[in-house]
Amino acid sequence: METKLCMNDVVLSSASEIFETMMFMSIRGCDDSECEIEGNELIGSITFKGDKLEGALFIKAIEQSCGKIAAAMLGLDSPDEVGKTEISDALGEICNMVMGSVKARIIAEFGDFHVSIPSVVSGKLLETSINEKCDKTVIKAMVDEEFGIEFTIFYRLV
Amino acid sequence: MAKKILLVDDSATMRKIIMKTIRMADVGVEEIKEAGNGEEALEQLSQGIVDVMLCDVNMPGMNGLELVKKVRENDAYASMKILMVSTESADDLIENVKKDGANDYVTKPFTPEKISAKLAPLLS
Repeated sequence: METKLCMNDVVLSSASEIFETMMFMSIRGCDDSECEIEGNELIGSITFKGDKLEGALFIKAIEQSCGKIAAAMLGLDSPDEVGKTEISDALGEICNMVMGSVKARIIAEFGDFHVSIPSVVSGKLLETSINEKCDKTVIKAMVDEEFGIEFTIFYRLV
Repeated sequence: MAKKILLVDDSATMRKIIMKTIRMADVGVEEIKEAGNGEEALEQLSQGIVDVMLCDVNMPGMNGLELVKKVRENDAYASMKILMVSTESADDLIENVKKDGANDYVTKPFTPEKISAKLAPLLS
């Protein structure tokens, strides 16, 4: 249970760091009823594997929200100026940076681990799962008090 | 004198973000060339040397560390500075990257101030 609580804080703190530094956007943990993710969704994913810990991080938001994030990353005034490839790339890069920040926060406890190259998929009613028996922590959050985003981390001790 | 940079990252979007940050950092960069992977970077360098190569560590195909080793094998690029870019901040990785020939290392996420602090000394 302690590890689950720790992961929740670690992921949310890491996401806050990335969103505030790269996009100047605030992020706040919230409950299910506040964070609605409905529509055409994007999920970014990245895996990690080390001697003590392995798993995967997923970030889910609707395409429109990802457009706003990408526009903020690129310093553009409107999400209308951002193409689909840029939106997908931006979400992948956010996965990469959040995972990098998570790694920096837990490396002392769990040792070094390899992080994969991120990938992004789109669709409707997407759900995240992995076959291996892992602990799962889901963190729902509001970005700029405007739209919801979901972080899911699967992990297991090796 | 006009300074030139080669930016190597497999994500075109990330290259745009880094270019925006470098412009905001205002460190006197005149030209930024781009490469999407290690092979493209070597091709770009064969057409003309730059002052600093900014290179992502994690790339598909030839990764950043392999590219640095290849570049440092060529005496023609001995004067070129290399700044590695990555989300990872493990001390071992940073030490290895510098041992392989990179001059410095900057972790993402970064602000114009952070990029300036790393890039300006390499350009001067």
